[in-house]
Amino acid sequence: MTAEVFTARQLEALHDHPYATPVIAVTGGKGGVGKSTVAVNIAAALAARGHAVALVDADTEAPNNHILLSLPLKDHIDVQVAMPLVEPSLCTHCGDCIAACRRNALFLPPDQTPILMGECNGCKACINACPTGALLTRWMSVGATCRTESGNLTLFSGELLPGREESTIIVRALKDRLAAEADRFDIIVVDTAPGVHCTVIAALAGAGCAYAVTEPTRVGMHDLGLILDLCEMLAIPARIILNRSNLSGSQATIAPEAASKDVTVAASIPHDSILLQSYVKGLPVVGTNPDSPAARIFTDLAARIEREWLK
Amino acid sequence: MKICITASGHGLDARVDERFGRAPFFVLVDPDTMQHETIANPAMDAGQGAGIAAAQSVAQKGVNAVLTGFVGPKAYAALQAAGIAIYDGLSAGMEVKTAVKNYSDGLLRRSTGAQARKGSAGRGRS
Ligand code: SF4
Ligand code: SF4
Repeated sequence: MTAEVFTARQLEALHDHPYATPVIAVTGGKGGVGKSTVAVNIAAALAARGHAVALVDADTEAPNNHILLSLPLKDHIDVQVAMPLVEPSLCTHCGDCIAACRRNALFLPPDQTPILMGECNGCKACINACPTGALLTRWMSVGATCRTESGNLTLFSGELLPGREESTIIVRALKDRLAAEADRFDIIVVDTAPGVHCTVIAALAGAGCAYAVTEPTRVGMHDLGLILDLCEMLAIPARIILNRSNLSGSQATIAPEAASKDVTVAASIPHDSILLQSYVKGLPVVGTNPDSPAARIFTDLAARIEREWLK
Repeated sequence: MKICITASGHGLDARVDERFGRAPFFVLVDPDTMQHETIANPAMDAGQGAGIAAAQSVAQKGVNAVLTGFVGPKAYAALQAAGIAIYDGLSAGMEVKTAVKNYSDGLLRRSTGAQARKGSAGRGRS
């Protein structure tokens, strides 16, 4: 994906949102580096400091923030997309629908009726283009958004139905749902999916800064490079959070990467059994063991975020 | 009879391009008369659905068979829906005219299924 380069106007449109609440993103080029653990702990630490926090779990293919917080998923709202359904008796095989579909999702075999074969995003361009009304709208559920309140923290979670591919649509629905009450919050923390695809871009859109979580391994560094490049392309200032920082050779691994991208390491979190226990228990370590080393790091980070964004 | 060979250039002397959806050109040949025509593949730079769009342009040209290196799953389904025969497994160095001759001599085999080649077919999730 990341071949395209955005123009200033495209970037402005991408980051535009109808509220003034600051947004920070927690991301990571690679899965399994502790991204969600960092996100829920930052959110919980900010909430514990008295701020109204919206935590957005935008990893819609494997949402887990509710598990890490032991919160139920409440208030499901179905997310549906419009897909074309062909009424063969009305089709004149003109091909207008094919020309209208910018995603090349429709195929028209000679003298037959169109078949939906590719990834449809529900834009309805084909339905609007059909001169004979042969394309009907069929609404399909692709997933849901949920909203759970717990004290100062409100979790917005999105979930894609198994087998569906429209994760970006769920992320957008999630953000729309949040936008409706965003002014109520002091700060918004977005936990993105791993990787550097469209879903991650949709989740990063509008963020004032991004924390890229990584671990000091070669694969970790490679994927960190990709996500830092993406943040740069999106003009989002990025910082690194180094997880499992007590792995040997960790500083030697991260320092050159950080320097070459001109990015600072905002926090280094050593592997720690208390953090692991809190993960297994499904409660943020900043709540269960506020004096543990990892909890202190998260609280310190939350305090810095507070100074930077919550004047 | 009209066959389509995925190519990196124009005409019968062009080299085969192994990719179907993202080949720059399609050389359309009548193997009996060797009359030919080269069309640009409009889907070459498509962000999404290159295979389907490439199959669409080939189908619109009334092609009966496609000779190429490999075909992704969506393009495969589209070509099949249009009743176009698929011969895959051509290698990139070959000249278009050699591919046509091999086809006429019955040396090519019909594809048995869609091929996914790492880093080439499709772009994966968007
Ligand atoms: S709704 Fe949009 S994406 Fe889906 S088939 Fe129609 S034009 Fe293509
Ligand atoms: S635009 Fe309508 S009439 Fe034309 S091919 Fe598509 S479905 Fe058929």
